[in-house]
Amino acid sequence: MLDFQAILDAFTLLFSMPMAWVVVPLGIFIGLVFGAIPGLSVPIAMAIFLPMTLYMDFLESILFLTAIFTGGGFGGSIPAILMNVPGTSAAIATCFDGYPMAKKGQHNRALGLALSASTVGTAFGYLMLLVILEPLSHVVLKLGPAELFLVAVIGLLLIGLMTDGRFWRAIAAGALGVLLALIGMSSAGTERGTFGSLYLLDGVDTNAAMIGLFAASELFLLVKSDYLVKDQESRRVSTREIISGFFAIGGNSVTLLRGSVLGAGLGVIPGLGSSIANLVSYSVTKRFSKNPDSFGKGNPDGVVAAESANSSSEGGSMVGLLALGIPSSAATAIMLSAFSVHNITGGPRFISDQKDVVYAIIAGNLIQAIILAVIGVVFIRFVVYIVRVPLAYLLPPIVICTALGSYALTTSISGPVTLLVFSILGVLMKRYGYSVVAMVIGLLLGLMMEGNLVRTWQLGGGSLWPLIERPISIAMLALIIISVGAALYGSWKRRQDRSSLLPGEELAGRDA
Amino acid sequence: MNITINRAGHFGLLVIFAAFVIWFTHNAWVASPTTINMLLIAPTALLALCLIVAIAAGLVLHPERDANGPEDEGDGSLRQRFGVPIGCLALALYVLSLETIGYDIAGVLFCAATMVLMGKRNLLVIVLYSFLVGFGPVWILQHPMGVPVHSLILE
Repeated sequence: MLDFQAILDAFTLLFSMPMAWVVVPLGIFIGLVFGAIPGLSVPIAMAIFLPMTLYMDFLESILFLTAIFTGGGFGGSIPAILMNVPGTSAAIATCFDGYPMAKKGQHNRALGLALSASTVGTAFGYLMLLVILEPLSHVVLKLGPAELFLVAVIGLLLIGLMTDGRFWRAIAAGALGVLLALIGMSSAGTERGTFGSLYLLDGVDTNAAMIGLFAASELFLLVKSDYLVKDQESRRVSTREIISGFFAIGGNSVTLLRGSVLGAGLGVIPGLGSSIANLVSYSVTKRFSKNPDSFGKGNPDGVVAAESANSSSEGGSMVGLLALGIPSSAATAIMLSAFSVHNITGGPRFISDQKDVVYAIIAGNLIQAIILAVIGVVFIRFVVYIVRVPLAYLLPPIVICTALGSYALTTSISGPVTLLVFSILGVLMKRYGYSVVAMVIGLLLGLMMEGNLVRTWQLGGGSLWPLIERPISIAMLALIIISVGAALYGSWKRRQDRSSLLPGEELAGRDA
Repeated sequence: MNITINRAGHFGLLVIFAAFVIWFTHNAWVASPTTINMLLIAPTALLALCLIVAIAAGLVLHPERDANGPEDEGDGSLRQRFGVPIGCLALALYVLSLETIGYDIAGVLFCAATMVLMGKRNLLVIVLYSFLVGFGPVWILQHPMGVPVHSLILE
């Protein structure tokens, strides 16, 4: 239950700390910059600036780190919309409709929409955290390895369902992604597919691989163009359009609400959070849309669905940290370091003993969402000039920054080499209609899937019965069967439709 | 069967996928043939192989289902016709030269080459911009961020 006295104390505490309101805008700006540069990421920013928190109070340091988290959450959507390069894995689904919108000259509107969806999503995620922090923490504890494994399988299937007519190719790409993720030393100490190389002991660098798969196919195609937006008239930069895009969110309120709820709920699940939330939200929105064919071609609902979900998942991911003391992502793991720096341990006791501090963190983040809206508009205003820069000047620094960013993650050549290999793979996969998104999700979830499947096997005493023992896992299995059934029915129906078309019409209507 | 370069490329990609799956599964099996090690690898590899074979069979039986043909070659210039493979090659040369000639000089050369490929001919602009783009990010990485980067000129 909500403790209103503690909430009041939290606001008193917040406004008695002027320094907090200096570090929050700074943190948001840092997050925006690191999120907007492909190759850099929010965890990198948080890790770099973690030592600064030594000189701050506990509350200031957590607000500073969550400000970086919040800024980075939106920052990742900027290159996703302008260049089809997701700044973070949480912005993958933002590319699907954001980039087509930019190509149509609607970049101002797309960025404005993404910002408002991020603002509302962040606020919604923390509001949910405020209300359901305690009850939700009990539910998370009930999710066992079998359920976590099944959630990952559902995530992969959802990607397949999103690729029109290429379901099996997407599943093949996802399966290959899972296998690629298993390269390296297993948790049992077995070396697999490393070629004896020390660089591969920790596995394939997923950040470099993700940027390679996504960025390459698009960046290499851009070599043929002079500008990001072909039409000169469409290259204008308009604050008015950014702001009108920001306020146009009212027209997408159902999508916004659904994305925020899904994001906050999925953000709670350890290891999945924002990477899956944006894709699930996008997929669900497309399914329920009256015009599903317009998705992937610049439908603003797609941008809102993805951005609201990935932003609200931030609040969800804080559940594990605050209520259980368990980080659910790299970003919250770094926040846990800040907890230990200040000799504080998250968990039920922390919530009950320091309720005012917990509520101050939540309230501070609600205010952060508003600050993000203000700083975000100014930031977009300058970043959007990218559409006016000739690609001959734009492409080389982007490629160099992505290569150096992948180097910075590992401080070895393995990062850039991974980027190169997956860049070429990305070009080939896109050419032949294989979903690079599915491969990336496979890469992100592979190790987690293996860990949970092995634990399920061990809990079952050498069998996989725990996968079908509990109602929640049975419901998930039913969802998987329905998803595959829907895909099979969809491809059968498509074949029926094709056979009723003339050969010329069939080719004209085929997806690229 | 209408074997075009495009279709041959698709079959080539499927062969690469299948080869990776078989090699990785074999490697994992040799490393440790225990159930725990193969619990996810074996079914995933089996699924991937079945799908690869099914896709290949589908391509043989239904050539019209193959991916689209080569893109429009635009004005027929080198950039329009071979922009993508040249871009891939430039990235490969850039990455492979990083440890040899340093991240700074490799960046300068990559930037200059890309600008020339994309139609820029003003030598002064190319040289100045390439030095800025080549040295700038490396300097930021080395100094404010404190990441050690092998460079030829910058220290």
